[in-house]
Amino acid sequence: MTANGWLQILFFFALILVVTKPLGVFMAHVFNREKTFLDPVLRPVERLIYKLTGVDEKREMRWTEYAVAMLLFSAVSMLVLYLIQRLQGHLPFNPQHLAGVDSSGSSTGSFVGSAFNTAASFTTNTNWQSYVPETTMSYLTQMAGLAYHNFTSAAVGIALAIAFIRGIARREMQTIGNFWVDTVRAMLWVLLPFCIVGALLLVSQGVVQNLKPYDTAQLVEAQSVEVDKKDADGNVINKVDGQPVKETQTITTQTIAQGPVASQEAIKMWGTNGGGFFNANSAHPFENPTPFSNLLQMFAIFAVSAGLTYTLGRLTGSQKHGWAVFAAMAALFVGGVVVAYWAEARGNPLLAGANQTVSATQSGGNMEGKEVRFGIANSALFATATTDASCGAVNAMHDSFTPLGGLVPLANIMLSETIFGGVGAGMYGILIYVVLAVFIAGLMVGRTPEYLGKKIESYDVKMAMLVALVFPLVILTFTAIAIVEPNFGTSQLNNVGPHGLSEILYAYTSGAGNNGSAFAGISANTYWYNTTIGITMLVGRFFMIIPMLAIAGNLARKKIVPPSLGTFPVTTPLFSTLLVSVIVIVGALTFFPALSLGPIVEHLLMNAGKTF
Amino acid sequence: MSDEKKTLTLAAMPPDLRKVYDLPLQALLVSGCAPSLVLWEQTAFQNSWGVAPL
Repeated sequence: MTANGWLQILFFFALILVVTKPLGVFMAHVFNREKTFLDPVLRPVERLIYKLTGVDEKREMRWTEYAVAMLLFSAVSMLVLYLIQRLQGHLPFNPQHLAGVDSSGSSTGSFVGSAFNTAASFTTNTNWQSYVPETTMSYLTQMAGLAYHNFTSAAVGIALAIAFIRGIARREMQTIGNFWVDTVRAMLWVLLPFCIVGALLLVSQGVVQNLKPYDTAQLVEAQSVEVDKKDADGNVINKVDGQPVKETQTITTQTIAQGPVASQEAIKMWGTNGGGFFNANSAHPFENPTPFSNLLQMFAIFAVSAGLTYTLGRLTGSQKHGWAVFAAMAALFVGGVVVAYWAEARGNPLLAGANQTVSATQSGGNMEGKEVRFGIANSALFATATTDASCGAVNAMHDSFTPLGGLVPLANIMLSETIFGGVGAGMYGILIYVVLAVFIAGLMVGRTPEYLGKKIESYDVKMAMLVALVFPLVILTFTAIAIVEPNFGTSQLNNVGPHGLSEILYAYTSGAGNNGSAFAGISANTYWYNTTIGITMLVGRFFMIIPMLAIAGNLARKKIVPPSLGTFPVTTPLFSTLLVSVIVIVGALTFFPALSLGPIVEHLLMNAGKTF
Repeated sequence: MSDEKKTLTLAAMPPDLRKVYDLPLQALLVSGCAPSLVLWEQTAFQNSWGVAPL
């Protein structure tokens, strides 16, 4: 570890701290329909949208109607994305003439459920990608299909967080806002302006932005590669033992993929989506070319979620509570980044012969799978931030991290979007745990738990527990099936032993946590993985949202109870500590056995000289 | 238009009944309206910058 590395991590965190209040105040104004500096431009656009779509912006919804509107909107837009993918071969903006996803001409091969997986993935703000974007998706699919969902899934997340906050803040009311209005305002005020500025900033750093066909570059030196031999129809020729016949091919050119990257990159980070324009995601020099673009991307991952903690304080009239929630998130974030940075800077003792010492020419530590322009500190920081916030973009390959370094991203996602979390999703994610924390505090002193003057009763706790139980249920069930099934489960792994388990566990955790980052090392573009991870993502999103909205609706109806001596204050460091403890204990009780069999045992075996 | 026919149009529906039809229609309309906005944002700077020099 170096002083320079720590300084960069501190600088990043200071930046987030600085924008939390202004962004929080801005969002409070937006969702309270108070005046903002963007109103002269955006208000007419907003009014036009309501006019075109017949939305009455004054009409409020009960939680059930809010939930149905959200589900319908998600279902319709998921279907639209599915159709765009399947039909992209017949649609415009396709200079590479890429065939429809899941058709025989596509790089996904014949039908493997890839289009369903991707539609579920982008609708749920997961952005898990089982396909290679630059060889699979046309520019239209990337822009009107994928980037569109980057905007709307993020806007829906913010809308839901605001609805939950209203539920806490309101007293004796039946409604929690209007889904259409909240979504449109999130999109117009919170997402679009930053993305326009962010895209321009990224372009200034060298991120490409065009609609040209791919370029071909001549290699300086011809390369020989071994490839599978194919017959005239393009089918792989197999030997008697089933292994493919190999042939040597000389490569003299390289295809330079490009496209409307900067505009997609901005919302990919600001909306904590994380689905890359290219397969290498933010490690690709056209997506994330410089240390500054890297800082900008990490900033974009956390900014809205951090700001929402201030909005929470503003709208509930308890600014200290907002900061207490921020402090809990920040403590969990710092814990993760310290472990990840330490583990990666410490290096891998089994990488014999590689120079792992810090010097003028070496980053030091485990640089396998990392970009030299980012080094250890910025790779560890990015990995922590992207998994805390359910973003899922990567600038280094998590599969190549040391076992403990790789445990951090995995554990972050397992804590269920509570550490800043996805835009909006992080806020309602942690508020579920706030309900559990005040319930536990109430049990300790033998009083009815209260949260900001609202009595937390059995219905609220049941709903919160539903969220806490469904999440591990779907992850552990599918992981258990995949790890014992040699035909469709373990056959897709590139690594055996505990590392193989980590790869499968990570895939389902990433799906359920709506993160979307991959541990890689697993070929997930199969019918089994596409379908089950697709289902996992839908369950992870909507089975969390519906109980959360139920709590919001129930809280909105309640009376305010004046605080008494027995009221547990939710504004103190003690509350933040309790909240962190509840999150860690629930996460540890649920996932520790699986983590012991995966990264923890792998770490012990690495020290014993064994690698996988 | 007769009164009977009027009830078939969205605006003329009683509020309770209208709510049932409102949601799918609005989901469809907002889902249709938003992509054009995103597509505009995505193509706003197109071709102003080429690929970085190789």
